[in-house]
Amino acid sequence: MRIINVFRIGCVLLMLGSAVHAVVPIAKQAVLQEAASSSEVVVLATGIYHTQGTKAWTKKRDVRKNGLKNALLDAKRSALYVLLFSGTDPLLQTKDSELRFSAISEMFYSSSVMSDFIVFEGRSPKEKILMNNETSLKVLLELRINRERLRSYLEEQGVLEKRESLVEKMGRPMLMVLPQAKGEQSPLALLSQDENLGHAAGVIQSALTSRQYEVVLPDQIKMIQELSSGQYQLSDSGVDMSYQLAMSVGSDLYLDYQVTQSESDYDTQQFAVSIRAFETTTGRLLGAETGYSEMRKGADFLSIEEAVQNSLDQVLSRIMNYWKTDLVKGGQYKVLVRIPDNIFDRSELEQVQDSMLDVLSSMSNYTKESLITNATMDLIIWCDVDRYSTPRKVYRAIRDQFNLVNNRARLVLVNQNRKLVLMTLEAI
Amino acid sequence: MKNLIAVMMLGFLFAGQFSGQVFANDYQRKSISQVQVLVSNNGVSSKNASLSASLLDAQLTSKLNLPRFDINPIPDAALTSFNQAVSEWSELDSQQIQRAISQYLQPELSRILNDPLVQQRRMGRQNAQENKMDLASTKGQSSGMVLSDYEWLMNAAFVAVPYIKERSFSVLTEDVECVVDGGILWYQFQDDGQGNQMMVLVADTQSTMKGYSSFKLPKDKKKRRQYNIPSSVYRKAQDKALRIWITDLSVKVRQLPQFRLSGTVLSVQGRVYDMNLGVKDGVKMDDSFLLYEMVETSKGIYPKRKGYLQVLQVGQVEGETQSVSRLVQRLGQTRGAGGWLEEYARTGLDFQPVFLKKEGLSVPYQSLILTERNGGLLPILNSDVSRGYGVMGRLSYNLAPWVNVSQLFVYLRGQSLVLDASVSEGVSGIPYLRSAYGGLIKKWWWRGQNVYLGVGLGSDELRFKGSLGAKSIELKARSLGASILLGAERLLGPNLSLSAYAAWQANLAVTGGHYHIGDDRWDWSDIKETSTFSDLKLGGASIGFGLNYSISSFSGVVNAFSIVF
Repeated sequence: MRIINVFRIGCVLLMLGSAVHAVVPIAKQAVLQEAASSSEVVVLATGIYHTQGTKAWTKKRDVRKNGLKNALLDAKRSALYVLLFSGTDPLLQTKDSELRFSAISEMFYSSSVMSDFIVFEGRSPKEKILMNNETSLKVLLELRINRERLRSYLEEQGVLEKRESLVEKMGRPMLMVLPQAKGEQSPLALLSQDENLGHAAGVIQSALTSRQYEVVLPDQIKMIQELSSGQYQLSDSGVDMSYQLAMSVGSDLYLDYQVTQSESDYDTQQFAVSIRAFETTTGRLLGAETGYSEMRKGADFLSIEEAVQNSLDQVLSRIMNYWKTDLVKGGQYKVLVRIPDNIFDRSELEQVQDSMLDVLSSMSNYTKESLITNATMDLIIWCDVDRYSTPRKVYRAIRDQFNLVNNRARLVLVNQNRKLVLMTLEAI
Repeated sequence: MKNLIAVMMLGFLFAGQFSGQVFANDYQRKSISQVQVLVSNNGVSSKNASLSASLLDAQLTSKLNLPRFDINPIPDAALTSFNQAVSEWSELDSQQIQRAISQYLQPELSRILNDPLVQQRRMGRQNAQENKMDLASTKGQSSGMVLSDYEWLMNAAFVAVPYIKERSFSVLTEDVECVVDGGILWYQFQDDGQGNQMMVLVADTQSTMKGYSSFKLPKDKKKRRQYNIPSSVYRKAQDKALRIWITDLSVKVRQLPQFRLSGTVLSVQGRVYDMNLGVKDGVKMDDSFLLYEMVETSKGIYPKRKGYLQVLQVGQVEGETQSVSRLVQRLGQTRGAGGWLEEYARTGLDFQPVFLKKEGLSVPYQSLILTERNGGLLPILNSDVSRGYGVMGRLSYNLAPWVNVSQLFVYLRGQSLVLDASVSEGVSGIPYLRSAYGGLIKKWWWRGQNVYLGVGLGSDELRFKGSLGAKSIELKARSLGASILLGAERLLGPNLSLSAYAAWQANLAVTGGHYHIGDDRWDWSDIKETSTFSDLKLGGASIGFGLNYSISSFSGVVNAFSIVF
């Protein structure tokens, strides 16, 4: 035990020691200008060089000879630094990841490694300013950085946890993309009527699929809905409300978006696209961001794409943060139990409900009661993903344990998808 | 120490040479629309001074039609109304012109500027300078113009109004002098994007130029009194004045902050700089640029001059792709990329005043013994002369933009030497030598200094003007010659160099001349068979030291030079 503690303390000291000698850019200033594509961002970074000379004339000579080269290097480092540590969604969001990064920072900030992420840089700095009586130099450099390549590198170096490992445990998140609808409006109708909304949907779907999310398309849902309606009509069971409910929660998360247009000078228009991400099972808002396009005349679709790219990055970052946080608790499911009328009296009903709650508590890591009424029990449970890797296993465990302890009613499955277990009680 | 001198000279020379604004951004193309030149008949009294406004207009247009501009012509219908309005004025008034432009030309100009095809053409030529990285360029939609593009398009339009406010003629001894005084008013179109537009006067480029034309007065006094100078002489003087007036204006236009070329330093190798401007922007070989960098001071961030460069190689790419020119730094310490270069437009003319000494002359005293009407001999000199001291003024013009050979100059020099001679007793006066030569010079540079080699042809004229008692004496003897020059220059500033040179000259025997003693005159036909002017050899070797000055404007020195010579 003592040896293990000594080992742990030694590791911490080693990492701290590395942190003391970590390479850090001087300027640490950069501005994210826009998302040039789903994986690349354009950054305007500041780089600073302070001379090492002693006399005034040697300092000035040093700045003339070495200033630009070193200031440009500092600008590249600053650009990457801001992506790692600053902004609304930095890549390094925990102290642990920052500590792990400091151990590799010297290697990371070398020109050979940085050139892997910097896809394009301006041929010459946008600005070059001599400071401190011409003994220091500041430059502004425009860079295009591949953030996905940067993230992959950090994952390979063990600074960030691999998204693949998360995906393997949780299954790939399934996302649905719908335009924001007000009141009785149908999102599907909006999509077919407004070409701007349709284009925005296409851009969002393209960005999501490029990052290997599973995307459920509203038009596919409609097709399946039509097929399903046909099936249930054959069995004379009429419209199945549960089926419609199951479809609306068929995705892990859903995104809704809104496209607005405003007029500006010289008859130019600016588009703003607001994207919100929701947890389907609870309707909880996970993140929202608005992206803006340049003010331009014509080229509406281009502007929409630009606005989408500028907002989607941040939203997806919030989604992944939520996903990682939720993993700690386990696999999340919405459990809905429909209690038919008139099969239990009041005391029996309470007994049955208590039994159900006990069963759910015993087989899950966490439970959260959303709604308990005479007709419905609506709960969220988090289960161990190793024991309950599929919703079917979750249902089987609930059914078997409930049927064991209760001789007044038995649990029957109505519908089940990757996020929802819809059951009903039948009197024995 | 030499850097201190250079910095002082740089500062001295730049004071007053450079009008104010310096822009850190690349040059943005301007749209120019020009109206017909407005001619005031102020000062003109002679019927010989007719002026073709349309011809002058065509000459002005061809000079102002620089590659850096997008020329957008104004339809004749709009110009007719404008011309009619201004023709009713007795005097030119810039405020009235501004109102007339707002009334007649502004709507048409607004229509032209809002034309999508015109906008695309202008953006296309401007975008060639940009390195685009954003989504629009990723999707191949770099022509999707944004708000800042429209702001530039609608506020980078100018109307040029050339005018001549005064023309005057003066008759000198055997010359007619014409003075043309005028300029160009520049109005800028300003649009705030919300329907508010106005035309604002932003510059008045003025120039006053002179032209000369000679005529020969008859020798007979009676005929001389009745002599009428032909109208062609007036016209020639006016044409010369107008030509140089237009050329001066075209140089001054390039010096305006709004129209000065400005490019980014892309890369530096030693003293060679790459700049993102080329032939399609109007860059020419040997054009001068000043290097700037931003410097932070306690009072703010300001541009600071860091060097002087000349174009070595012009980027030849046409069309909508970036063109890169190569420049070499002549003055200042080398810097890295990131600064910018501002055009330093000049006339291409250099003026070199030099003090010189000439040896190897052969002016035997016997060759200047004049024969009087009564047969008497009148010696001018006491002894032979072999040297002289004097001044030379040389005007050289850089041919590089036309022949694409760097640092090739055509020159014209005038020289005035006082002979180191003692004149005979009783004779007063000093013999002197005047020369006029023209030729070619080629310079080779290394950093801020050069050596040059030149050849020339011309003529020398030995002169004397004096008296013997009450009798006035005047003589002239001419001979043709050829010369070779070898010289060196050291730049003190972009405009000024120290100069030293040596020249060897070989002359033919005297081929013409005359002399007067009192009212009697002997022409060459009377002299050539005699011993007067025989054995004169006006060639020799010269060495000189002086300055070389690059002229920014045609006025002043050139006018003085044309008067003297």
